[in-house]
Amino acid sequence: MNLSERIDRAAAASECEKVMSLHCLYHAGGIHREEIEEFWTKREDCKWSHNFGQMNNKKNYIECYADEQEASAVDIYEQLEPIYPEVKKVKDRRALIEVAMHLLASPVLEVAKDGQSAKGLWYTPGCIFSTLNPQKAKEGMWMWERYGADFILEDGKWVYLNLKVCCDMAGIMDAENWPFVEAPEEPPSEEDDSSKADSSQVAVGVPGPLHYMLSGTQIPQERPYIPQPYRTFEETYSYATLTGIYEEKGK
Amino acid sequence: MTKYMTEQLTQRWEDYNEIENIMGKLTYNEILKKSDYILDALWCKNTQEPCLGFNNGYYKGYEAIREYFNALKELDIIKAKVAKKMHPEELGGVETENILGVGGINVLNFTTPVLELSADGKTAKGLWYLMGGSGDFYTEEGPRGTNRWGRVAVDFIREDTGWKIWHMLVVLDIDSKMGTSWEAPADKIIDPAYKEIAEFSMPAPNVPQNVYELYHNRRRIKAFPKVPKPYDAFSKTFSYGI
Amino acid sequence: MTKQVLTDDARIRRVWDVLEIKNLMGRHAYYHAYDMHAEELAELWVQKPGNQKTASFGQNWGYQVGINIIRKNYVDLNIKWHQEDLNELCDADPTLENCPENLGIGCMLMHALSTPYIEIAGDGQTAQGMWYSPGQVTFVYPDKVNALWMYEKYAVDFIKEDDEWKIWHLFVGTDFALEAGEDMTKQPVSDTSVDDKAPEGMEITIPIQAYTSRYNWSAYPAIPRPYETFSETISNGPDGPPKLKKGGEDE
Repeated sequence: MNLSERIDRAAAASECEKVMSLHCLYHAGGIHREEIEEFWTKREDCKWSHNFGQMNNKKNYIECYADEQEASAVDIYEQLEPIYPEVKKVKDRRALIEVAMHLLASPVLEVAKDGQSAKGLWYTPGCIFSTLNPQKAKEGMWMWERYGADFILEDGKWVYLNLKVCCDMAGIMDAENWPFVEAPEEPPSEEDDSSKADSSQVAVGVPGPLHYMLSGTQIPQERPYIPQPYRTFEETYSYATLTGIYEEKGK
Repeated sequence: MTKYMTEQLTQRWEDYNEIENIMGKLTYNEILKKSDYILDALWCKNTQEPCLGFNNGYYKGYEAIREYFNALKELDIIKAKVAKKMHPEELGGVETENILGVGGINVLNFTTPVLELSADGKTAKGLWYLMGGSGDFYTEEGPRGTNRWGRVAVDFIREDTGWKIWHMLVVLDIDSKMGTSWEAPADKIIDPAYKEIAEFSMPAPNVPQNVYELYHNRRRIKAFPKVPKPYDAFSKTFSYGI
Repeated sequence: MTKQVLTDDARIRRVWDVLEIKNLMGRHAYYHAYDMHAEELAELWVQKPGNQKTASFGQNWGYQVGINIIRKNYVDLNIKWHQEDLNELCDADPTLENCPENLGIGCMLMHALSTPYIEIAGDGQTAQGMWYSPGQVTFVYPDKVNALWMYEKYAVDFIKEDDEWKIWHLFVGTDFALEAGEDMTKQPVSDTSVDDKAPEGMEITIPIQAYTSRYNWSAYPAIPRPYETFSETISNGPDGPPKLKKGGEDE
């Protein structure tokens, strides 16, 4: 590589780190649709995965991450407004759902030698919290996960191609021994939900499980894979690859 | 402040990236319980006096450090055997070596870096906050989540095969059960079902020392470890080893 | 921002600027934990008189403006509080020595900095950064210890002085403070103690509710975006929040 190409890779790593942080900040703020528009590829074959499954194309991702989230925001606002009229002044009601702060630690970042893609792995000892809720109590959860990201250079800008989230442990904030405490069952809704059948969750394109939470029989899971130096994206492991139950089935 | 030319600065960035990746690889290989990999790939091979320090002292030299990592693996074997006993249907027929780390995850989260490369490009010093946490079904108390927060200070050295850990110092402020105050960590209540785990102990540091105290309500504030500053060569700076 | 064609040298220096800023903020975190506030102001904060006049430290309850006010609070008042606390502890525990080495005894804080997002201005003279800070603070009293989780958003303006980056405007927005082992759902929703007012004795130049997590994610401080020169961006100093502008609205 000549000096210019080496600098390209340095600048690429710096930009990819920014994109990853921006995902966290936008997700925390509930600014999901803007995140997809600004920091995701224009390609239709992008994928977002969690333990529960994979949103396996752009349409599915927008449906789950943006459309459904915006419907939830309307729903939560309608529940909060009678209890807390002050929420009328909140400009972006998506923020009222919760803060999902998947903060980032321990990066491993590799930019391809051809300078066209990059892979990053982060640990996220994160949390989800919310102050105003219909049950008139705060909410809080700890959530420890791993993030694997494929980035590509598209029209001179670094964007996500794939994002893989693997949740290792989660629990109530700040319950004693929280990874081992069962979350309390949600009380039955006071409302008649039958009319809300249409707003039920959009199905992910590929159901999981793609990763398993901590259990007494769970061995360490090597996912997302730790990035290694590589030449081109075609030669490396994609974070879109189906894991978990699909590895076991040999699919 | 040293002014670097374009190519020098590019090389220094590449060094920084490689070192930051080392710390990340330490995190993920610890999750995977690949202590052999950590020792063989991330630690130095050809440099004098490597050192691994904790609150209660230092493992100084290759032999002591290897003994420490071997002990970690021995503990993983003991835990795997306990897991097999407790879950004979799922794990009884599986080789112990293939389930090391079963039922647990130990995450070393590194944040808040201060990383300085020497001007001569041969060494580097880094300081991180450790936001550590583990969930483990197999501890002497049974299933336990533990917060381990503290500071990690590392001297790195460039060897033929790349950057390596040379001296590492891990000092904890907090080592307490998740969801409890670290003010006065509760006494451990040993569960007889996990007695093999309770009976195991790590080898003591071969240079025992009161390096750093866990938090207690009469602990003085200590500016430790020192924060790295720009430096020319290792001989001109302080060491995180002994 | 006009897209310039940068030389290789300019490109790598901008990437290196990001690393230097990360180091600068890392140093801030450790100096703060080590109670080295005077050293922090002398080494890491702006030194030129014009910049010192406009330096600021913002928190939920408002802004300290000017390095002299910041020093008065961050250095002098901090020492005063330590001495008062030590006096109280010594009164309750005669075995404890009232000496300078015991100032801050039993106190501990750790404001880790994760999720770095740093924008270097197009003109290279300023930068803005945002971090998420998972942290803990521990205070000791004669009859108890308060061990608290404290999770915050950091937003910082940096300026170059004689080729070295310095902290210019620092903003720390506290999202929550939770006693270790406390149930988040039991914290009163109406509790705004982290928002309302500065600790007693602290001089606040502009007392205003600059930040709250009552509506979850706060749009201020703003997530930095690419910018050419400082006048084009939203400051993390008191010029920034909408409610402090003429005719500005509440968030």
